[in-house]
Amino acid sequence: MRSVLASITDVRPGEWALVGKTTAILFCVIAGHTLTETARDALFFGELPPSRLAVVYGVLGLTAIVASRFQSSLLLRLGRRSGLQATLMLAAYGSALFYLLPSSELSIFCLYVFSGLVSSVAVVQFWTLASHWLTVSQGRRLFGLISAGGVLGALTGAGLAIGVLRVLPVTTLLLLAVGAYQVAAFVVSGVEIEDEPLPARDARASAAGSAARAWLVTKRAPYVRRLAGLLAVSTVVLLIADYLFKSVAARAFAADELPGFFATYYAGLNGLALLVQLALSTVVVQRLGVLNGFLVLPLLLTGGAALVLASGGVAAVLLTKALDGSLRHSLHRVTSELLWMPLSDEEREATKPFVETFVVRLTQALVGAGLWLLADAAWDEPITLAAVMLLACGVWLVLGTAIRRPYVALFRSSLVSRKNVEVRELDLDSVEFVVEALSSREAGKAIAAMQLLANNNRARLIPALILYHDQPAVLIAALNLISTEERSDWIPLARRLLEHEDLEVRLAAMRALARRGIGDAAQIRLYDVQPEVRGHAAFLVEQRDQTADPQQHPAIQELLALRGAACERAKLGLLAAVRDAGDQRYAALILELSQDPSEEVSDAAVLTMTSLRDERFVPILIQRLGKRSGREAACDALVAQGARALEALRRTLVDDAVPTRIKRQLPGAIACFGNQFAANVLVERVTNEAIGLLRYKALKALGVLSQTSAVHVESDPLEQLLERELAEHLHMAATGELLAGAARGQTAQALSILLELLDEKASQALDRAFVLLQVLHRHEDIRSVAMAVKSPDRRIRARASEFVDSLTRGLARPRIRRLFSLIIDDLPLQEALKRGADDLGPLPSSATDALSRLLRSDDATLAMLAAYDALERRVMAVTPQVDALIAQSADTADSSALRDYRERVTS
Amino acid sequence: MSNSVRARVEQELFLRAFMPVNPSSRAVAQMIELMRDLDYEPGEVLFHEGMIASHLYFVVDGRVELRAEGKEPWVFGEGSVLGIVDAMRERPYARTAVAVRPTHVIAQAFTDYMDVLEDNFDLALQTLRLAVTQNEHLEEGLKEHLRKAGDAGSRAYGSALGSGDESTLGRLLSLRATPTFAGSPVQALARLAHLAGVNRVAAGTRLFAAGERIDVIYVLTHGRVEEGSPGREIGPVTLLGGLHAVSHVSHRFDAHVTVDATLLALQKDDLFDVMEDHFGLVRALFAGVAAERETLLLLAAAEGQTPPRTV
Repeated sequence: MRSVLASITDVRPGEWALVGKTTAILFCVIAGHTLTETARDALFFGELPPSRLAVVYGVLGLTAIVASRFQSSLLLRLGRRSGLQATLMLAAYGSALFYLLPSSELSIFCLYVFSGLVSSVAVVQFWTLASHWLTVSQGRRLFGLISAGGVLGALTGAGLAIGVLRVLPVTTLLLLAVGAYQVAAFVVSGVEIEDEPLPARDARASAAGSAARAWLVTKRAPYVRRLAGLLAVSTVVLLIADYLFKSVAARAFAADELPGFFATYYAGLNGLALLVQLALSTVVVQRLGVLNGFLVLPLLLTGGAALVLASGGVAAVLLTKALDGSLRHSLHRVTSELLWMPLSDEEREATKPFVETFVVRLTQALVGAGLWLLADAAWDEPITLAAVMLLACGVWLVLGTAIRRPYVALFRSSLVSRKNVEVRELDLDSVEFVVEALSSREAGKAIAAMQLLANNNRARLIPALILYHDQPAVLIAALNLISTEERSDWIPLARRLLEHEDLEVRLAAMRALARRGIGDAAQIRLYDVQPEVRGHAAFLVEQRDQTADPQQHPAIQELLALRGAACERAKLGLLAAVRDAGDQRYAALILELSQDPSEEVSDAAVLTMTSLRDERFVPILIQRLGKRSGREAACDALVAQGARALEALRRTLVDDAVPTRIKRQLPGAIACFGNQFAANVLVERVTNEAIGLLRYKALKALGVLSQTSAVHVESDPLEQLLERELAEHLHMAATGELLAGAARGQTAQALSILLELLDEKASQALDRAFVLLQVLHRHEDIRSVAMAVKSPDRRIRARASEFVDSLTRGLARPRIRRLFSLIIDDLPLQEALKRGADDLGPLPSSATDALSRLLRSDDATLAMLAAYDALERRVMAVTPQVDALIAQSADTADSSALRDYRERVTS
Repeated sequence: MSNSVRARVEQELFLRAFMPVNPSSRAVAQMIELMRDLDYEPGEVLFHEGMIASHLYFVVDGRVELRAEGKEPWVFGEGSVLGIVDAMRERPYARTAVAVRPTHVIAQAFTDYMDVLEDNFDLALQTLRLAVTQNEHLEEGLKEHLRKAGDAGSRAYGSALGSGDESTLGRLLSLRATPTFAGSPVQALARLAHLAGVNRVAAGTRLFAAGERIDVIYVLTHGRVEEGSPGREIGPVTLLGGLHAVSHVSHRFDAHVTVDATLLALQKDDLFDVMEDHFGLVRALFAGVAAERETLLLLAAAEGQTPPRTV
């Protein structure tokens, strides 16, 4: 039985008890409701004209306000579970009371209202509880089965009604309903839930009535409002369909035939609904997704209404009701409930009872009033009603389509914890605070305040008096930030600093003054005791003279003629000055200094290349990328060289003669260009690069580029790669699982490392998949999603899964969505592999097969560890592959060590 | 709006002043994106002992005590970071943090903090350097105590696979057995193993001198080395110079071989490249710093010394 159900619904180990009890509760609630409904309809239409139905709808809507308040109070006072229990017991006592009351028009009218209220309150409470117990992923899989319990309950209730009505009066059905509600309450008490909150304090309970309204003005309200609108319009459609059906039935059958007709028709409808539920509902939700699944009913009802409009016949009305009856409590119920899942428990509990009771019932009241008016004017003909219904179906479809974006956005916001911190303008309060920090004696704080002002284009607020600060670091930072064209108040104070005891301060002062064209500062410092200052001064003197070849200028020559550390320091000063001025005439000298034996000088020369443009720099800069120090400067300098540098980088990247040490830095440098050509180069490398490390570097760089620049990337090759990475993840995981299983109980050194490595590789493949997804969805925060996938909280994981599902629906390759779902869903690995068999290609069939594949792997470390593991655990079946590996191994030390080990083991 | 702007400015100012070097605007923005301001009244608990160490707390203003039953409380003020040692070591908080004055802290999820470091590798290196330096300062204060504790470097080492140091596997196993690299990803170590050279050095050879620039780091796999003068003797499998060698520019001590030794030699640039590609290696190094910090803190507490600002 379980396997049959599992094949239809996908219930996983550990879920059966909860699903069983939840399904049983809904079964009893709906069975009880169907019994009451049959009795109610039979009594109502036997005693009252159909036009009174509109009045009932109106009264129902008004009483829903009280019901909504009552429901919120119950939830907050008693908690979810006890609240539902209380409702069910009230339903039981109420049904018993109506059984005992003598039949009259008033009591029948009241019974109609009572049963309507019970069904809406109990069903809403039930689904609130179920949504709390289950995550959104579980809901997708299990709501179908749970709903089927409800449909089966309706079928059973209807079947019982048919049988009972043959021998007993119709009111007996109310007694049976009492039993059903009581059994439901009993089952509810037996459910052990993990996180039932404590009953709320009285204060909270008293605020219950306003809680729902308060939520409508909270930040999530737009989604709730849309949902409320959607439910309201669906209520309009379903109510008209119901009225249409009942009024046609009341006209077509005599009063004494009606109970039998309703019981039989409802039984038939429920049977149909059960079939739809079991055969279609879960499949439709899994294949089409929640949002598309939600549109199935309005689409079909549109067809039904059009048919009624075209034919006006009873058959079309019955067909429309059949569509409604078969889908409303199956597929439509499941998708409607899932639409609430993006909200948190608290949000859902605050808004759902309000929307589903008050909004829905109020809509019913309004529709009821409208129908009453139509009936009163004798305009409630099927054709008129079908036209209204058709119009409402159109609105339903439009609203249903429009909710897609907020639905996904809600999942997104629940996963992304980052706040929007972009501050465009500092306000007065903040500026005052920062300016206050400027006077801090702590260097760090004062510098931070200056940088913050400068970053916000408020450097002019830094007072020149800060140049009296006693900390050199503050003085240097201030000189760099305030020496702008717009102000001159700092100049006299900077002149004073030319005599400062700290070399860096003197340098900073001179550079600041020089930037403003105050050259006498340079003259003053040409004979400074510090070579850096002299280097800087020499540049300024030469610049004043503007010689054709700066290297021939006496001041520069004198400087370059220095020896030892002094020469090095002087060159650094000179380079800093050239960097500040960006004087193109110095290109040859910079080129020369980039090859200086002093690393500090050559690094500074590379840094200086950022402010000059010269083709000759490009090969030097590319070579420099292989070296860590000055790499960032080399990147910036390459960007400064423009398109030719980018083309050179592209050529170098595909040049087999270039060492990997340099090549691995090229993708990052290419990404720094931040343009479309750079993106194209990286996509090409991500797709075609044979070396894993380089492919990974290209992908990482592409990820950065797509985040920082508005570039277009062709999705097809990336989707293909994404598919491959997801499959790789599962292949690695499968291999690890097989090997771990085979070696259980053994302590093998190589195997333990191999398993760790496989685990890392699986995890990296998934990380790469998320980077690719990020490139494909550059405006999404996929990193947060990737973190949510690894969260220990199953609800967060489920939200991530739903979000990824929504994102991947738009991709051209559906396999990506399926593979993501296998990986993210809480599915045991074996089960995931079984389900993904078609998408994954041939997986290793045994531990030996897994080992044999690893021995043939392109990854040398994997192959080597597999060989050691095979030898250590004496897996003789793969000895030929081990021998082949030894023979192929290019590394003599590795192959001889492996050969030695093999000989030791085999002897 | 005004409050949020000011809060953001306060956070930025605090971060810029607090961080080891001037962080890039990008790094600051990333950090602030993920931070929350929290205020505590005296007596309120920031975190309880035994809770999962998921967050770091930067104390902007006020005073916090870290309490544990039967132990002297540690008191922290402005500029302190709490929870980082526990978070780095992936274990629950070892003490309960209680505000003893009105206290303003900035809280950040540890995973977010590490993400920012992963995105800003230079910042990660500078943070590592700062943490190692803080440990060294602590160590300075405990010099006498540590000397009495004696040599902890001698370990028995051997590989069951017996493949020798020359092969990649041999080098990988040596690196895996080195405590500084404990918990590092296998892939990272495999790459380091590929990049490492094997040096055989005779007894009496000086490996490096204090103050010399660190271009190469050494892992001792066989033999013995003396570090410092008078030094402590170190056995296999040890990273010479410890985390200082990874995070700093120049050597802290002299080192010379006392018993013929085999050393794995790694270019520091290569190590940094691997660290950048495999951030798990950086995490492992941070965990090592945290473990070291804890040992020193306990010793410092026993000696009645004030704890540093980062625990």
